Amino acid sequence: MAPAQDFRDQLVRYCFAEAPDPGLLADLGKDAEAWQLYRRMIRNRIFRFIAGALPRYRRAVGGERFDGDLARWLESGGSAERQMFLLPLAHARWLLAHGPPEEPAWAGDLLRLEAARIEVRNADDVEPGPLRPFDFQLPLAVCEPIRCLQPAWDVTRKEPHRLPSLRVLIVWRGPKRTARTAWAEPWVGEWLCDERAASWPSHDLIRNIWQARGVVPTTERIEHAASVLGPLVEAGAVASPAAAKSR
Amino acid sequence: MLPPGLDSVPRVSMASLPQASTVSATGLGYRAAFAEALLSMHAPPVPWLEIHPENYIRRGGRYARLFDRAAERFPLVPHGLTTCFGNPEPPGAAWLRDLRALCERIGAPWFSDHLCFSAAGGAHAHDLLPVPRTTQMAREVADRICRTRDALGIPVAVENVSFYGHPPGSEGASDAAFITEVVERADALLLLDVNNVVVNARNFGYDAGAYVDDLPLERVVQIHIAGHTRRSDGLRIDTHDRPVDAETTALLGRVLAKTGRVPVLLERDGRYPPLEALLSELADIQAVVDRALHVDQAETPPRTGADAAR
Repeated sequence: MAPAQDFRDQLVRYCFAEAPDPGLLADLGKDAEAWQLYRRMIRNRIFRFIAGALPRYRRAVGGERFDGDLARWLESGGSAERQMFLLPLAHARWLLAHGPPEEPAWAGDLLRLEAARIEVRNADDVEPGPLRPFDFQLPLAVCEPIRCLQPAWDVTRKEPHRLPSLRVLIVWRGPKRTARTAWAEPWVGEWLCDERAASWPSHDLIRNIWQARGVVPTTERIEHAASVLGPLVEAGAVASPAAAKSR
Repeated sequence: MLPPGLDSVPRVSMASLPQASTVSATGLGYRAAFAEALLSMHAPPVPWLEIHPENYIRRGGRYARLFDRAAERFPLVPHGLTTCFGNPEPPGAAWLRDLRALCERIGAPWFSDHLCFSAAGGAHAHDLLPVPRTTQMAREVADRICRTRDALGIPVAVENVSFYGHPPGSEGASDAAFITEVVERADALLLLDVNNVVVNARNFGYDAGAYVDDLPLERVVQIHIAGHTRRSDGLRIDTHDRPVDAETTALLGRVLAKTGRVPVLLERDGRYPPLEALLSELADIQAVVDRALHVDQAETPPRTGADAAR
């Protein structure tokens, strides 16, 4: 008789093996049908849940490829998250680390977008402290999660197309706690995600980033930043800290 | 009786848990699928809600808001899905710290999780799997319950689970006797899931009423009730995705006649009907509760979950 510890390890290994292993099943004892049932129930639940969280990516790569990757991920010990809502993100990270499919060409960008959407929707709430309305003369206070992606394809569209120039895709938690997206020039993303943004006046940090990038400061660029920030400011996703002094 | 070395586990005075007395009658498992509809009601006919901490810990956004709004309006009771007391590995200090913070925030009268395992070798199955019913396992599980109670600082209740096979070493070992051994060793409370009793009784061919009679019913602090699926081959699967059947409802009445007034909780986890239908089912279950208690009122004083937790 297998000790209890072995039984528990063996049953989980049997359920997560890429293909059912008759040897492992035999070790679990006489109720083979029961352990097969658990394997089906566990896998169905996890497959359905992750497929539901990454729907566009699944459609893009096809169900067979998607399910095959999931099976390999599970066998590699992928289901390591206690909280089920974290599983799709963990799987997406594993896929990206192992190289997403080459076909379609935008699969990786699409996966990054769906993962970022999940991340900002569920990220722990930020406690930014006392705030005042956003002011370029003050540091930036990020009140809702923001992620900046640099896709080669416009994966926000149903039929993705290759971007003609480098753009950054800002993914942020908007009103009603849904994930919103906005395109911007790359320096906007760099500024929003820069660690110095919380302490440097935005005006100074933007100038610093422009200098480093060799970007020519123009009125159009400032207006562009304002237009990108507009919805984020309106939704309260970004503001300025009340304690900071205007320069 | 406590396991050796665990005789100093602090017990918690119910006087410090004011919410315990508010958790009575028939509550509902709080689910995102109908949360907005429930919260938009002016006076929802739901006395309390049960929440799964795994859905809210370290999670912001919509779920954090759903949690806040529920906490403002309802007494909440935490029911874990992954702190299963039969897991080979302990839950970890960080998880227990977060769980305790959540329990403190809602003034939880007790914390419950399952008498089973849900993870092994670092992988989470996200399902409830049976542990071998052996004396060694009873000791191990009781030890885990005591340590969880220590970490959370509130009473802990153990739920009986449904299962579909017997782990090696369990042959001939009574499930009721195993549960009794565990809760008595740990001096724990019991969350009796009557649907799980019916599912197991049907699948393994024993009498559900006799099974319940073998349990330490004086320890029951809460009851779960739910629906299950019957497959074409007759196997019952604990799906929580349909209304409670007559057999399970009848068993609820029988249990309540013995336990007296204990909070009952309706679980629904799929094929969600409109909220009105769910609330109607809740009212039907409350009627069963009322009938059962009326029959036995002369003999059994009313009690809330707090009484069993004392």
